[in-house]
Amino acid sequence: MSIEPTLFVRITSIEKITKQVKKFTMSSETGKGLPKFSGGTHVSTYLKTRSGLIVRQYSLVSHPDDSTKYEIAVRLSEDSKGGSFYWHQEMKVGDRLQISSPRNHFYLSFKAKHHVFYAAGIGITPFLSMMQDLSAKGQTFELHYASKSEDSCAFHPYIKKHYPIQSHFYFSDQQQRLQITSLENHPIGTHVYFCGPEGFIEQFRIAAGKLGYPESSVHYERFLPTQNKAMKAFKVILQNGSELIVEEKQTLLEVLLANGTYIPYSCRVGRCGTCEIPVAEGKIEHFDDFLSEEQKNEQNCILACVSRGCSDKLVLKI
Amino acid sequence: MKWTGDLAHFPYPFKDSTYRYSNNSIPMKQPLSIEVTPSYKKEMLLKRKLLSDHPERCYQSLLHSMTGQWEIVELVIDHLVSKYPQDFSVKKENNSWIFTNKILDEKIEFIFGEKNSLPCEPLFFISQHVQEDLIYMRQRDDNLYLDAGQLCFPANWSLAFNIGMKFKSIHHPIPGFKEEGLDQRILQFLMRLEAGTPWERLNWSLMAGDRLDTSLETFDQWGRLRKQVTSENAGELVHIRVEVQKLFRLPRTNSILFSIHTHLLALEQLATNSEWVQQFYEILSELPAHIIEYKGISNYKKAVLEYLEKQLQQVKTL
Amino acid sequence: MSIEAVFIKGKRKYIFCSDEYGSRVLSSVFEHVKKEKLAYEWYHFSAEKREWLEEFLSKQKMGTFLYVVLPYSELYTVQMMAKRIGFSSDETQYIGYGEKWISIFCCRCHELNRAEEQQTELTCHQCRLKLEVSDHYSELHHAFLGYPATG
Ligand code: HEM
Ligand SMILES: [Zn+2]
Repeated sequence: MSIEPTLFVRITSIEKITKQVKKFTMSSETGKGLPKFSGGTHVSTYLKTRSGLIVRQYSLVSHPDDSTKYEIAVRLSEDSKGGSFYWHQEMKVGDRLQISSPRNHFYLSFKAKHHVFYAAGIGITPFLSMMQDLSAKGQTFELHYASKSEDSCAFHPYIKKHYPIQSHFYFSDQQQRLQITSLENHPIGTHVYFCGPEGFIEQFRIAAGKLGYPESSVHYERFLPTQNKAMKAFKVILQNGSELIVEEKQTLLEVLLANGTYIPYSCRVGRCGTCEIPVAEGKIEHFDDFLSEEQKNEQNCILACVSRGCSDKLVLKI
Repeated sequence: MKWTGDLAHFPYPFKDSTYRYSNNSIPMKQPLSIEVTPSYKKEMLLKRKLLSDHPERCYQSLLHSMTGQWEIVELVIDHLVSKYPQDFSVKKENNSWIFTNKILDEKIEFIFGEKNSLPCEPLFFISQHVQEDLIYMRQRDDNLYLDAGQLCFPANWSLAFNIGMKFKSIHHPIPGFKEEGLDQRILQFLMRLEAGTPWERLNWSLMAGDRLDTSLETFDQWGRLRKQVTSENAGELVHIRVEVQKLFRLPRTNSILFSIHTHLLALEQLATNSEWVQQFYEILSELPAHIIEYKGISNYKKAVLEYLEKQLQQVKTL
Repeated sequence: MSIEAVFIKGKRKYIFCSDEYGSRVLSSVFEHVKKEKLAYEWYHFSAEKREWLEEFLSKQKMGTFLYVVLPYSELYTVQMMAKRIGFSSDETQYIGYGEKWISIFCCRCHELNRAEEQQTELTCHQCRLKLEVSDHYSELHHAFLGYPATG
């Protein structure tokens, strides 16, 4: 669970930029400007459809300093579960929607001496604002961009015009291939960034590791679909042997406090990390925005304010 | 000059009868980085004198903080104008801004984003209009660094020494912070801070005397008073010092604004609320030695406890 | 800063930069690299040839790991140089030896004072405040904070 701060926007134009990609421009409904953002930023979009709320993340492709509008590019995916389908088929100029404040989990390295972007297909989107930031600061970068064909290559004319020296295109219909060996030639101090289909990211990530790139110099972005949470009751066992049931509508934190088991807490929305409890046994379903992926996978702690047990019982170390 | 007496604005910091270091941050109800209290004019005079007499002690910045400094100017002016429209106004025409401070009867014209249009750096400029100390924490790679700051009212630390320092190193002097893994948890929390969802926390300490400017640089001037506390003079001499600290994600530079508003209240004023005296007495008697030592209370804890006991007895005999 | 060089596996090339004494400190890592037939290069350091080192380091590619063993008096300069070029802390190991001096930042006047590594107290040579040396360290100042001495 997270607090979803929302901005109210209206679609002001829709442009088809390739056969499968449409660019949507939105402006603020309140008349106040939209927040400026940093290279690599995305927003979550909230679509109220007949089959329910669809939340999807898209990189902002407009200029980071332009607070009059936001632009996103959406590719219609064949197996769309509704997100891109809705954007392509239903969205019209004038439609209103809510989006989150800008968020950046794919930011430019500060210490890098040189930046190299590897994009496949629609994975180009976060790099557009990053390249704008870098050129404004006069920092050096390269772009390696793979696409099926020149026609289907989103933002191809724009990139060629603005970054003629820095950009390299690889069109598979012309037997051009973006090879992982490209990673061998980057000078010390380079940071590399990958964005594209899962397989593409993995291939480059592994190759960089094999060459000896430190993890801190390798950046990538995946957009994960947000999970739906099914709230079920579960049982916890405390160190003193007492058993407590957390009902469907309760949180573990509420139950502990009601039971007189005091644990420190603060935000109650899974963000501050204060109510973390060590767990000895049982499977945890994490709903917080605090723990890292690794920490979640270790399955040895739980944020009592939002996360839940998904096995019969959780044995807590308190 | 007396800085105290403002019970109405005093942010009482305790919620339980024990106190430990933890991430006690909560989401803000009113997302404002600043507050104007009745001592505004008096504090602005003091702050400006300190800034001009001791610029090196009160103001530090690194070259690459300039974009972030402008973001802070925009955010703070926005907040001043929207919360206190009768006292502050701004006229924006493209990038030409006219900012008016009616309390101090000042009008400042500048070109937003243009350093030379102000006689000083942007952060220095805006800090002359708010009671808060303003710290810019720049996100660089996977860390936060203190890359600029205006600090007139520190609780015994040195901005000049801390400039350019990482979050964890800044907190290195706090006993137990690292050992308990708190520094990592709080850093993790801050890295996930999002635009549009600011947080706040309260920090408290005790001090002998009523100086707002308790910099480490001037410790030899104000630290001596710690030795003069007795149970007779504690009510008047000893003050509880509470910092309202606010955290805002700055989306343009993907960095953080940390604002600190310092409030002082003499113990004799705290004593006007019998529940407060009771709770504070319990907290102080139970406070672990390492926290007492770090907060600099060791010399006069006994005297303060005696004073509080007397107050409690008076309440009971009433 | 480690005392002993540790072999870091999985790099495409290793660079050893040291003087004669330092090459002994690096010998076990070096043997390891040779045994596994990994690519390496030695750079025999001398203070006069510092610009050459800069040029040499700048030519390196990603995947390179740098070991430096030098007297403390030289080490910091080389460390700063490598950082400027782009070697991050994940791509380097620095080992110093010999006499070590540290800087103490005076909490009152901000002057940097030179002190011996084990020193716990000193008087600021500029403002004469008695200082207690702490372990609060600033990378930017390359100095430890001196607090007002109590007692
Ligand atoms: C991001 C901006 C922050 C900055 C620039 C900052 C800075 C500082 C500094 C300079 C000190 C004094 C250290 C010394 O003795 O030299 C301090 C103390 C402390 N900080 Fe922070 N801090 C920040 C955020 C936080 C947050 C989010 C927490 C959350 C729990 C926190 C918890 C503390 C605590 C508990 C102390 C000890 C205070 C006392 O006992 O009086 N800080 N901080
Ligand atoms: Zn001094």
